[in-house]
Amino acid sequence: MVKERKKKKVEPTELDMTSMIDIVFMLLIFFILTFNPTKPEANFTLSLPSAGSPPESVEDLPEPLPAVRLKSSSKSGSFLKEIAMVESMKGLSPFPGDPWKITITSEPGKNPKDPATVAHEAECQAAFDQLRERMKKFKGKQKDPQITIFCQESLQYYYLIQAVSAISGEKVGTEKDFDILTIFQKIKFEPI
Amino acid sequence: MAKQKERDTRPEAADMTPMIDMTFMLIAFFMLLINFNKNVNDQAVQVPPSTIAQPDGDIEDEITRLVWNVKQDDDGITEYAYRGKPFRKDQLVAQMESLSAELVASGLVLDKDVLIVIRGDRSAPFGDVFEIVEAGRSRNAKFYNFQFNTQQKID
Repeated sequence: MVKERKKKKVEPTELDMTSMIDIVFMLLIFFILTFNPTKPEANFTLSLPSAGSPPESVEDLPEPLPAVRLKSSSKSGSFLKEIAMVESMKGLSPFPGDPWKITITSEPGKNPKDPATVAHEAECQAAFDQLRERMKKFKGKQKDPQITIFCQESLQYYYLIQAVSAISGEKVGTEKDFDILTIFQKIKFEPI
Repeated sequence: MAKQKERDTRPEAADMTPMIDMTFMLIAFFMLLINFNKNVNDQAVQVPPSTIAQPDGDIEDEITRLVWNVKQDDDGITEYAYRGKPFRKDQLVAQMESLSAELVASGLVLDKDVLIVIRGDRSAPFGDVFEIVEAGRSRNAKFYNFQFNTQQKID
């Protein structure tokens, strides 16, 4: 009798994938929780000589010396009250007595979403737009003046950046297809 | 007549392969967007908006950037942070001097290769934000290039 050996079928063992899928889900949850989208930030660059270098004497600076001043309602106020501008300061300081100016009448509220805050920001924006128009006219007479912004120390940094935006350029064109026209490039800041 | 065996009508498990493929796609997506710069781009600091300032685009230069975050804490005291480490106003000059010494010792030229990036919160007082410029420009620190970051605002 020939024993027919039944060939034992060797079944290939399948790898159990459930643990791998579990790890994959853990990884996914980790990445979702640490996801932190940040928008690219725009910037203004400025180069300043170090404080140790000799200060420019008044005679060396080209006339005129335009200047802009940002003031609040009180010495420690943080909200913008007045924007003043002169086309030429005699000497480096102080700011002369009778400049061209715009007074801001509204005050912002406590929160950024307050209607008072929105109204105040709109008023400031309109005032800075007027400043920009005046600077454009003024620039027509100049080659490359250095403009100084005197900003009260207690004022919010937001106003300084609005002033720099208004003075340094103008955006023309549509949202998708725009150009930035430069008005002033050399801008100095002085805290007052 | 043979009894028809009732076929086992066990429902088959749905094929999970496409779902696992999607999960791998999602993982790859998040892995590409992982961002370890939380100290540098501190989200608690809301930089002021500007319509004129433009972002840098792809930065490919060799400039060393030192990022300072300036914000006010709950008591209204201005807090400066460099690489996550907090500083007070009176410690700024000393820190600037030590950073300057380190960079010069490693061979960098301060007025060409180094940029101080200032991320100031919009409601922080201007004087306090400008303090970084004054500390950076001080006699022993001599930093020359400063950058003020803003949010891009589309009017």
